[in-house]
Amino acid sequence: MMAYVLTMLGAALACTLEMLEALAIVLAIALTRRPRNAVVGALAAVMACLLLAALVGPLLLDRIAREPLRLLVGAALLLFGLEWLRKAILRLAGRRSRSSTFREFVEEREKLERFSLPAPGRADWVARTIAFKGVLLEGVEVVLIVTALAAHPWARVPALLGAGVSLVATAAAGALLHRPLRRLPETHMKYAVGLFLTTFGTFFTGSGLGVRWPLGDAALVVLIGVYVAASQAMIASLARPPDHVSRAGEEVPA
Amino acid sequence: MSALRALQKVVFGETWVLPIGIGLAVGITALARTLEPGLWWQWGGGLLLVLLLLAALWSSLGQASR
Repeated sequence: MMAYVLTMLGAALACTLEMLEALAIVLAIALTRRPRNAVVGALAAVMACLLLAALVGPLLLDRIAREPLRLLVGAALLLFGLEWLRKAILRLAGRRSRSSTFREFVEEREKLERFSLPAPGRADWVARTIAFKGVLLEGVEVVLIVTALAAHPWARVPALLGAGVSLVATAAAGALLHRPLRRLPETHMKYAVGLFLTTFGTFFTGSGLGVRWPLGDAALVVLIGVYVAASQAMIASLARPPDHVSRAGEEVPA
Repeated sequence: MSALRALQKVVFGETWVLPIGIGLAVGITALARTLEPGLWWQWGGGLLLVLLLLAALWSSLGQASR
């Protein structure tokens, strides 16, 4: 039950954040240029992601033996989880600017305004290409994370359920609001995703290497606790006042 | 090329320290299992893995902390 809820929550949070970033790009294109071209580019990327999911999912689940599969899935989750955790620690410590999809939306619009629009009735390949690339890159991460989380038979339903709910909610929010949400605590949400993915990654990698976790699935809660404590200690040791962070969000020397 | 670079960033992240650190953590843990495959492994293997992963995470923060 514990693993079921954590899997669903992890998939939902990770997908929501990735979808919000993709949505910011598509909305910026739709509002700056012609909406139809943004939708065409985004739909093409969604199709490519579905194709990737159809290829990667069965390949992982049916062709690879149980122990190597756990190791592979664990390592993949660690790659994503520790990277999200690293960035969140730097942001929470004031070493980078806080995550803001709305800021990315505004920057994307400013970038797009430099390109001239094609004549009416002609395809806008700039808009289509940027929408395709933006959605594809975020979508590939979603496909890989959800596939990794769903790699165990018991985890398929919660991982797909979490991803499905977040996909519908994010698309509905974009369709209703026509702009990214401004007040989401994105940095903290990304920190939580980093913790979830790193915890599952450690658990599966350990299992793949033959570790017998004390307490079974409940070890996931202990692992989350360890990562929260360690990451908070790292944030405290790196903490710096917010005015040391550059506007571009890059790390700056002390 | 920029799309490939972006895809590489999606999969491996912004720094190579983490993928290398994860590889080392998994490799060292697997080696420890081979060298000492007793009862110790069942309880200590997980702890070793967590400690090595935390070391990898801390190393990846190194550039920013200097």
